Parts: sequence; C-alpha cells; structure tokens
Amino acid sequence: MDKELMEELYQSLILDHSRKPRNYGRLECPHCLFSKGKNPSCGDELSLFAHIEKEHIEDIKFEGEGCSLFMSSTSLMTQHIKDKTIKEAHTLVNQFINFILKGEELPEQYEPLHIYETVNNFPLRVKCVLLPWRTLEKVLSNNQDTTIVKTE
Amino acid sequence: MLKEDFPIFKNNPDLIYLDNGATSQKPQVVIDAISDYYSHDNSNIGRSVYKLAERSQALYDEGRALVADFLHTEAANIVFTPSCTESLNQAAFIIGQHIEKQSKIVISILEHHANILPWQRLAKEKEAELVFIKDIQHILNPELLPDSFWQGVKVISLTHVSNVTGLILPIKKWIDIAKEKNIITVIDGAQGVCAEIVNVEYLDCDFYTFSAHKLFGPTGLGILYMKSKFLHTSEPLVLGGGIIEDVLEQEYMLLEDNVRFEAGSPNVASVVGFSESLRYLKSNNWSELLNQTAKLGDYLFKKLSENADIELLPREHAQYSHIASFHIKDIHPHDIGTYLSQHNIAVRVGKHCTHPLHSYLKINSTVRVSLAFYNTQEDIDKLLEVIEDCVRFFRRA
Repeated sequence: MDKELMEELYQSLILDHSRKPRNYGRLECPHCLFSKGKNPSCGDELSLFAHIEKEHIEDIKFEGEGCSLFMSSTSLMTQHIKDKTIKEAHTLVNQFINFILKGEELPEQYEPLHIYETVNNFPLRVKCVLLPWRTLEKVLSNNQDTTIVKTE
Repeated sequence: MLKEDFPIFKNNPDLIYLDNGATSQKPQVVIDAISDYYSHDNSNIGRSVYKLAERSQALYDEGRALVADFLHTEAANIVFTPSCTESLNQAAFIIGQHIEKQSKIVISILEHHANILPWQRLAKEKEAELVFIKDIQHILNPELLPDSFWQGVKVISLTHVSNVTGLILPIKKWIDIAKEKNIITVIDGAQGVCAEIVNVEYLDCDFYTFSAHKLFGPTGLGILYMKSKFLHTSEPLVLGGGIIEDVLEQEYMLLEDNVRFEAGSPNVASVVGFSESLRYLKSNNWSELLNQTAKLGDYLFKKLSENADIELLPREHAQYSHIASFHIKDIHPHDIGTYLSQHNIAVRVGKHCTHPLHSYLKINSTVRVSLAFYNTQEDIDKLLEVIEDCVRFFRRA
C-alpha cells in the first residue's frame, strides 16, 4: 500500500479536528441562520449555524456526524470563517472549492487548509471534504429554501 | 481453483474482493458468451423472421428455461426485468390490483430500500398501513405474533437474506402462515439466491425476485417469478411494444402470458450471459459452492468476533449467510474503507441502502464484508490483519 499517501490524507491535524471538532454545538439566537447538509449514501450529516450581524460573521457552529475528512473539514472551515465578512467568506469558499475540484492555487493565508490537497487522489472522498463548504454557501445566501445540501 | 476462471483477479492480482453483496465478479465464460452473442447472433427478438432473430429468440427462451430450472419452476412463470429493484416494483404494482383499500402490508426492518419504497407508495395509494416487523424474535418466529397482528394483513414482503446482518430468514415458516391466512407473499431473493438453493414451488411464495449480476451474471437483468394466477390477470408496470395482442386507437389488448410484463426490446445479451453463469454454477456443483461459501462465512464471523476492536452487529441463535457487518468505535466506516482500499481490499461502507435498519439499530453506518466462493480464508486473514493496522493508524496520537 501507499503508506505515505495514507499519512498525507490522514494527517495528524485531520485526526485531531475529527476527534475534537472546534466550534461544535448549536446557535440558538432568533436571527441565526441555519442550513443542513447530508450525503445520503454514506451518512455524513451536518447542521450549520451562523450568527451574522451587519455582513459580519460573529459566530459559526455546527453539529454533525460523519467520517474524519468531513468532520475535520467542517471544524477547520468554521475556524477560518469566523470573524470574516460575508464577502470574504464567499471568496474563501470559492477558492477552496476550486482548489479541491480544479487544483487552483489556494492563498497561503489559508494554511492549513492545504492539507486537503491529497483528497484528489481519492475521488470518492471529495464529497466528504466539500459538504460543509457547500452547506456554508447555502447559509451565506440566506435564502428561505430549506432543501438539504448534498455533494454526492 | 475457480478463482482462475475470473479475469478480474488476473487483471488485479492483489485484489481481495469482499463486496459480493453489491455485485459479484464474472467468469470468463460469461464475458465470452456476451461477446460471442454480439459477434454472431445479435438481433432484436419477437419482431422479425430472419435467421439471426430466430437464433436470438432461441437463446432468450433458453435463458428463461435455465432460470426456471434454477428456481425449480416453469419457464412460463419467469419474467425478465431490468433489475431486482424493478422486479419488486413490478410485484407491488401487480399486487396493488389484487388488494382492497385499507388493508395491511407487512415488511421487516431488515429490508433494503428496493423492498420498502414500492410498499410505501402502494400503502399510500391504498390507504393501507405499512407495518414493519422489528423484533428479531418475531422475524424468526412469526408464530409468536398475536392474532391481532394478522388482522387485515393482505401482503407480506420479506428479504430472504439480510444484505446487512446476513441473517437467513425463515421464509418458509412465514409463507406457510401467510398461505393459511390468504396473504400474498413476496420474497426478495437478491442475497438469498447467493446463500441457499431456492425452490419456489416448495416455498410456495407468490413472487420471488433476484438479479443476475449478484449471481456471477451481467448487470441490467432482473428476474421476477410469479404464480400463474397473477400472470394472466394483471396489468404490467410498463407498457409498450412486444406485449400486445392488438392495439386500437383508444385501447390495447395484452398478451396472455409472461411476455406481457416485458415491454420494449428485451435485454437478450444479458440473458445470454446469465445463461452461461447458470451453466457455470451447475457444472461446478452450485450446492457445494454454497456450502463452501457458508463455511467461509462462519470463519469470517469467528475471526471478526475475535478482534476486540470490532463491534459486530448482534447475532441471534439463527442461520447466517456469507455477509457480516460491523463498526469500530471512533473510526468511521468510510475511513476504514479508504484504508482497506489502499491494501486492495474492497468492502462496502455506509448504510447499504437500509436507512430504516441503521436508524433502528442507532448506528450511523457500518462496514460490510460479503463473500463468494472465490474468496479464501487467506483473504479473511489479510482483512483482519489490515484492520489491526487500520485501528493503530487512526488511533495514533
């Protein structure tokens, strides 16, 4: 087996965020935004909450269950998104999705999100990494559509 | 070694294929039969009078006879469909024409989605109650169910073998009770045909379904056995060419026989390929191959049980087949699947199209190992060895 590839995919940071996800929990404020993500065939499930004031992301939290790629990607995403403006968040979401799907450059300031580069070698796992980001797109769009986001 | 008959293992020398519950590998003779058919005999059937069409028709009819022989019944009771899923949909559609409103439809919690969704829809249409048998003791001992349970039951549709736990259901017991109470019975044999010799005449079920691809045949071919009383009195799910006596501007008259359920151009190539699978199984003593696979299933369960990190889905005092599912605390099945894949071990991870069962068991998802006769004890030993590495890898600091 390609041991290096496994170690690259499942770096300690990914395992750490998966075991101890940051920003885990719910936001109950009346104006908080909320979206659900779910990949039905594998069972990854996400509830994403955001508290946005004047175009600024004051707080973001999530609850969910799934594989280590999904959990860590969600946890790291919330860390990067918190305290950003909606515009900045949109930029990051687009850049990250293009980094994963098209191999485009991801600016250095977003370290350590670059650890997901290896997921391209595992095409069936790309959906796990992208689910929180696609769900965030929906939260930020703040539309009333209650459909559940999927990436598979 | 029969494994040598399967070119996938020559082309992937390190492959340990343990996902036979999803689909089986194909022996060279099946691949050759399909290629030969397209090279020598290909034509549409039921429509023309030239020689190629005669040969294709003969091959198609031969396939039906071989399937009938496999299920120990008559060719007239065999319908070809595109999949086991469509067979179940066809069965539900037919049954809908024979039951009154507000009756009860019974299935088990073990069913995969193909044996749930068609009944949900039928239940809605018929304002019927869809009842899940959840208690394993009731699944194993239907005679324990109270009289009140049976009131109003018109249909029972059960899997022959669970595609997740590997449980072999006592379907004969269920069918016997159902027959006494005039209840229509459907058996989903998708996994069952890979676990036991099936004799539908002995079972006496009204419908039995399975697919060719799980039985070493090609994809795109399902089988629906049904009793004659339904054949001649039911409308098919799909309408179109090849199934009619006559068509007027405003109405149609269907053929009397099983062909009325096979609208459109039939999948002759897959039938030809599947004929070869059935001949292959017969010539290699299918019943002995089933015994071998069952013994290997016992070995698999024993080895999985011996590993302290593996939490197997619980087993009752009952018969189990070539399938076992498990999870490991704090390591998600998808991560296990990716790790095993790096060692060329193919298993299924996720919910296996059984969301209600996983919800009932309160488990998000599982790893499923499913065997076939070309698997060996060495495959299972290697699996366990890699699982140990996998646990160490994901639990590292």
